[in-house]
Amino acid sequence: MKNSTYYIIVVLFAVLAGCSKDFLETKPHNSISESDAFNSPDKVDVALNGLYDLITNTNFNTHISLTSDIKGGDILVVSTGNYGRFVTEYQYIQAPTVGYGEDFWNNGYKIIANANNAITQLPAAPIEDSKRSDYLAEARAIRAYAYLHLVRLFSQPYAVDRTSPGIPVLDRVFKYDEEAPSRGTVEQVYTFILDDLLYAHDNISPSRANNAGRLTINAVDALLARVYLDMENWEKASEFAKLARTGYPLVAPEKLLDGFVDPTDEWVWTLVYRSDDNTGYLQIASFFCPYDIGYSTFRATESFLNLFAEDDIRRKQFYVNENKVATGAGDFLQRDGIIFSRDGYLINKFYFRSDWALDVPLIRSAEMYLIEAEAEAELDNDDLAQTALFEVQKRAITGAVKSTNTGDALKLEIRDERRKELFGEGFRLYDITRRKETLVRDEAEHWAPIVLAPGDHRNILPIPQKERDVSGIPQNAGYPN
Amino acid sequence: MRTTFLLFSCLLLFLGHLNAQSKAISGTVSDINGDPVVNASVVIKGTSTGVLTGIDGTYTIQVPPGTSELVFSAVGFVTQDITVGNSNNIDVILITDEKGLDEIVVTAYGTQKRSDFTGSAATVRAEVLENRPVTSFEKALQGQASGITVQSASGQPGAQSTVRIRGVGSLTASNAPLYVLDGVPITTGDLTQATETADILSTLDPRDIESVTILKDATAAGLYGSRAANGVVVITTKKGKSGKSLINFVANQGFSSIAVDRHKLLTGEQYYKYWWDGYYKNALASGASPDDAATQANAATNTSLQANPYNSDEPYNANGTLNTGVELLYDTDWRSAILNQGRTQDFSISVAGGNDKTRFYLSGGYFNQKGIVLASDFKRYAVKINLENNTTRFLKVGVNTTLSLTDQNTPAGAGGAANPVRFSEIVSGVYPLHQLDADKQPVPDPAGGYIYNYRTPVVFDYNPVGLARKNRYTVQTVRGILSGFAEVSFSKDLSFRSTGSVDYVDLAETRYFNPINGDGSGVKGRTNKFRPRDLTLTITNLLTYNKQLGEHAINILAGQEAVKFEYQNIYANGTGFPFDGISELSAASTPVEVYSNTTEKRISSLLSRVNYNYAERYYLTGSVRRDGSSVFGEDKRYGVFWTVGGGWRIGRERFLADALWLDELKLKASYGISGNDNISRYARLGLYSVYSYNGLPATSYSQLANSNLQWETNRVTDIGVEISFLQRFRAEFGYFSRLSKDVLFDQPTSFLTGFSTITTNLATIHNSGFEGMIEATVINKRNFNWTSSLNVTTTQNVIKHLNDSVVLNGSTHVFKIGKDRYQWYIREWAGVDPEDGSPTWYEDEIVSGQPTGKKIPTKNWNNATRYENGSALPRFYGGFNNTFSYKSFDLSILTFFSVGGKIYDAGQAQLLHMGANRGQQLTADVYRAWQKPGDITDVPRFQDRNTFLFQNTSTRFLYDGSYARLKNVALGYRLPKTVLERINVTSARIYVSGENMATWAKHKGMDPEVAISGLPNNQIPIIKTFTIGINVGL
Repeated sequence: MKNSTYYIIVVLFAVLAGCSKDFLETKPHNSISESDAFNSPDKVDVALNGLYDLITNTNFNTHISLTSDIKGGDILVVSTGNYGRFVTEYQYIQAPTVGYGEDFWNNGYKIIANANNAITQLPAAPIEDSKRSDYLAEARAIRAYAYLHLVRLFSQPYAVDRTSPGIPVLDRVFKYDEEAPSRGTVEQVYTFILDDLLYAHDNISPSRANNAGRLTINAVDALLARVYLDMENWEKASEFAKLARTGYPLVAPEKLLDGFVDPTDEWVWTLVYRSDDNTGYLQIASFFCPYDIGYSTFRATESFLNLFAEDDIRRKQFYVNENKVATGAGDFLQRDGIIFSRDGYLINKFYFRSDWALDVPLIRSAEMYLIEAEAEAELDNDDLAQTALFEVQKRAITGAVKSTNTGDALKLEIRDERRKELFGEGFRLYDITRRKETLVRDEAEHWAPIVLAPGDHRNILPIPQKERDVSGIPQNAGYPN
Repeated sequence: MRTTFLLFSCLLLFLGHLNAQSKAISGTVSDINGDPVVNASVVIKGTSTGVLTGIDGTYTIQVPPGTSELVFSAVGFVTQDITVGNSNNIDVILITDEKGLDEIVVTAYGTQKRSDFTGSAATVRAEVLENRPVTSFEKALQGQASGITVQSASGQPGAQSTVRIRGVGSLTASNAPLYVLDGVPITTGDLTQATETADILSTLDPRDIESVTILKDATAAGLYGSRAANGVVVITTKKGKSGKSLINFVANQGFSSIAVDRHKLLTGEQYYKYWWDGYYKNALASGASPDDAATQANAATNTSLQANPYNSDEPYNANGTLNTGVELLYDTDWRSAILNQGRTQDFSISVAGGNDKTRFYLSGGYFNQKGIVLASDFKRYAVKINLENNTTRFLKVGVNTTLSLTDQNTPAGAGGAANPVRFSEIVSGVYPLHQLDADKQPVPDPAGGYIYNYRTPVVFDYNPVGLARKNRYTVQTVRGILSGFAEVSFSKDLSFRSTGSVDYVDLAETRYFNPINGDGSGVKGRTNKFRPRDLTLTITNLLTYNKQLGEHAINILAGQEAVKFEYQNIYANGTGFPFDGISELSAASTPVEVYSNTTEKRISSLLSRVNYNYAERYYLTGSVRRDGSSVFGEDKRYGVFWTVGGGWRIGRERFLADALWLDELKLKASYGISGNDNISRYARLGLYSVYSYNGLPATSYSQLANSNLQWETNRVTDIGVEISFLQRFRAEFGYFSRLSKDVLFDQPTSFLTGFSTITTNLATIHNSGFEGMIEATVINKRNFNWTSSLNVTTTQNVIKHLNDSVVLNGSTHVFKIGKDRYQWYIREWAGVDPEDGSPTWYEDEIVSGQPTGKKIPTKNWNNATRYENGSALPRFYGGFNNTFSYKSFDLSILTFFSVGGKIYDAGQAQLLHMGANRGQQLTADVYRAWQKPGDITDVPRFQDRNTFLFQNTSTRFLYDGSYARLKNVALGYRLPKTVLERINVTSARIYVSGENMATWAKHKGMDPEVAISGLPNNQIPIIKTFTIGINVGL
């Protein structure tokens, strides 16, 4: 007995010894430590690639883009059979706890936090200096891109009131127990954005490949053109628009009927989606889909449809396969004619293909021509404006004639060209508000008519309640505190 | 009980004397199953004279003339006084005494005599658990013991229930108790990823359970240390006994239906007419003639509903009646379309036996429950082997194994379009079940029946009946719990026991969407496969030392335990199936996604406990345990948890020696600290997750670091008194206080961090309350026995400390200092404006930027202020349970009640959209809607596509959640011996039982048993089940 006691106690201690400190050291298998995320050249590139994935989040670019179109009056959402998606946005009944505002805010700052992490860690990363400045340029441009979305969503346009409250500007990683910075002004946010983009313009490697999803010098210039347009710096807007489109010629007109889900030569920046992103039905093409395979709940108003001339190939973006509408069978992009269905006209601009690998154009050179046209018109260079505008018109409209409009008539023509060329790509609402127009939504199809003057609080979103509950940053005027 | 019996016997010795002239009485003493009761004592009342029964339960006793009564007693049975008549034969059936069998209390790492036990624990016996038509044992515990709540929000067979012991002390970390099966902590919860819910506990066959003990205070549970914070449920399975092998066979059949009536819905016809009335009224108001108004209303109704169940486009005329020749062609009752007759089948067989050396218990069971909703079922095949062998004089070895397979089908759940329950509650009957031809006749399906209609404007491309046949949500769980032990006795006093165990849970989960309709139509079909595997390895080594020195008894336990948890998950997703009916991924044309993940957690512990008593009168117990958990960082990793407790058996004091009526009087108190680390296994780390994007590897910032993360601790105080007297009554009363500190919480952060939450040790929560239990043998006659028990628990939950003064908990609750954990925080209903029929809510009045403290009504829901509006937690709850036996019949009635606590009727809210959603179902309450100025009602006016937001969350739909439920009524009949002998059967009992047969609720229209937060979520309704069965012993 004595011996066995001895053995057992030995075994017991052997087991105990096995449970030494190492036993309690466990590491995650799908993640790495944040402090190791930039400690090798491979990891740096991989982390930068991750920034783009954050943009693909449904609750960021997709819903922001759709919100802009659904609010802008040319498009509407059917009132039933849509699980309530975009119904809040369409009716302008957003509130601090209602609508997509919290998602936009959350995901925008998520991108900014990731970019700031990269910007903070890159200076010490073990990479060549030329690579370092290229990556820094990329991270800063993405930060600027996220800020541009947020400031347009949550603050009044620069042109409306640049001294009104902006959004908190962060150039570093923000700790959870820190006091939130103040909102500052819209102008301060734009200064910050410009700073980032100009750095990116100077430092991003010009040899980056086109259409690989990653930012290029042209995409950075295009963002600069947009920012200068917002700021009504027309010279710079025109200058960078021209730079941005260089090397990205407008493609043949029939390509406009291919469904806008595969990059063409005129896509300056593409947001890549593959099947394995598994985005499901929450894709732009799904909401616009004219057949009952996607959400299929976005429609055009008659007056918008009438903007398109009969010989405008873009009118065909509304033509649908009539048999497929009725039975579900047939070719998606077959274009027989226009159909009114539940509250409005079906739209067939985007191909909701079943593999769900549907890329999204973030920037096209057509937009750059229109920025140039608008900027030149504002500078009273009507001839330059007409020429830039004509590039877009002559591609789309058979037998188009260069515009002879001048002054306000020309500006209106450019505005309507933007509506026709860029609908469904997320521009409309902001085009109205930054141009200080009044949104009048009184067509028969609109089941929630509305009139919104420039500067109306509903033109922008409320700061999410959850943010205010924690950090207490001030609410936008007009929204409940 | 044993001690009281001894005392009683001693007493009889003192008092008794023998009488010479006597007659012989003989008979058999058996239990209710007809098995002989060995060593039962038969004593002449008022004397010490008695005999014991033999191995066959028979006895013969000489009684003096004038003997009026015999007293029959045995350990574990209710003592009976039987009048002696002229007969020389008295057969007695002893009724199992629940408190008697409580003799031994199962505690942490061992057992103790009930009389020596000074902790707080409640034991629920097998009788209450078996023969209940539930998929897992914990559902049968509700109302059976104080201090424990069991909430089963879903009627899905195999669904998880929420079990809480003595309140709710955690926020983010799990509040679930630790479950220990035959000494081995086991995995619980729900590992499914696509199916509605599957409770891992439902892999255990309740029939294999001998008892369930709920350990509540520090003395009882504290030795589990880091794992005891939310209480411990100890499950003891059946073991073999030496002697004749007993074969037991059970079979039953059950039939289920919905337990509580839901809100009355409008029929399709009423619904159409209701909309028509709305349009008609508007048309009249805008100046149309009655006939024109009727025509306009017909057209408007057809357009807005996109449906018309009549054979005419102009069904109604200006009188609001049907035009001549107009007929209703269909009227879909979606609720009955998705409902089934629920069925339960339950068979099991067990063999138990053994000899001096080896004891065994073997069982096999089959359980099959078909739910009350389409495509909702659960099957279990379970095998159990418990074996124990005395190998040598000093070595004992044994194994306990549980092997089971469960197979579960669930429909889609929660808020999804495919959830049949939600569908049937929101889609009006004006939409047809089947596709209609031009004459609105159902289109036949070449394969038989009719083609289902998938088009309604409310839920597009779904039909729950059609999808139930085509889509699949299945989960198969394989579970094996294998534990082996070896126990070495070094001497009479010192022993060592080593236990090693594996708990293996493997799930094969498939979700398939058909390519034609519903979720899969956009991608030509989709299959998701999930294969999580959860492995827990535990090794426990314990040294036990027992010593009795005169009046001093000491028991020392010291040991070590190490646990390794490993979870692995593989997931794959493919789309593009060639045709309907094939669902394996090899047939998918697009391999969409593959994913795998592994997480690990480890715990390493040292533990020790000392129990001491003096003269079985004064008790002292203390324990200490040091746990290291891999969840926490190096410097926060180890937690030291300890307990101290004492007891005083006043009943054994000399000054109470004369109180013969008193069987036991015990005071007890304990205090202890335990811990909780049940949060995400890597919660403290700042992480970048690694995945792929655009065909290339990618990382992104996925978790904020918190290196200060540490153990959540519970300080538990318990004071109690136990009394039993007159051998009839037993009562326990106690007060408990549970202070949870450094409560782990996913604290909301500013989004500026890039995250919405960070795990912190945020709060302090205090749970306290009183528990009381009274048991009585009300009547105890030879042919009639009635026992009754009542238990009540009150709980109070208060948040004592938060890092921030107010933290929102979702959109409906708030955490606030001084309030409880489930405080409602929603908009307050201010009634329907009698002027225009608009809904109104309260908002704070603000004058020049400052709240005045007054509330004023607003018609804008968004502007309304959220206020604290009471708690979802009940004020008290309990059970009232009675058992009766009369001759060969037995009857038990178990009830549960819960008083206080507010529940939210989300179903009613969605049925009162008042026109906001065209085609969405309405309840009959809409007939109370506001019609004209001056109307006083609680239902606002009806308006097509209104944006009142009346159906949004407010106190309008918050109700008192008090209810009582008849949990189970069971009536049994034991076949008489004469019949049994003829068919060579030892015992046989047939029974009928009803589960959830009646519910009395303060608020009608929904089942009051909802999730602990008070919020229902379109779950499958809770069922009532009628069962008939037989139990045969061979």
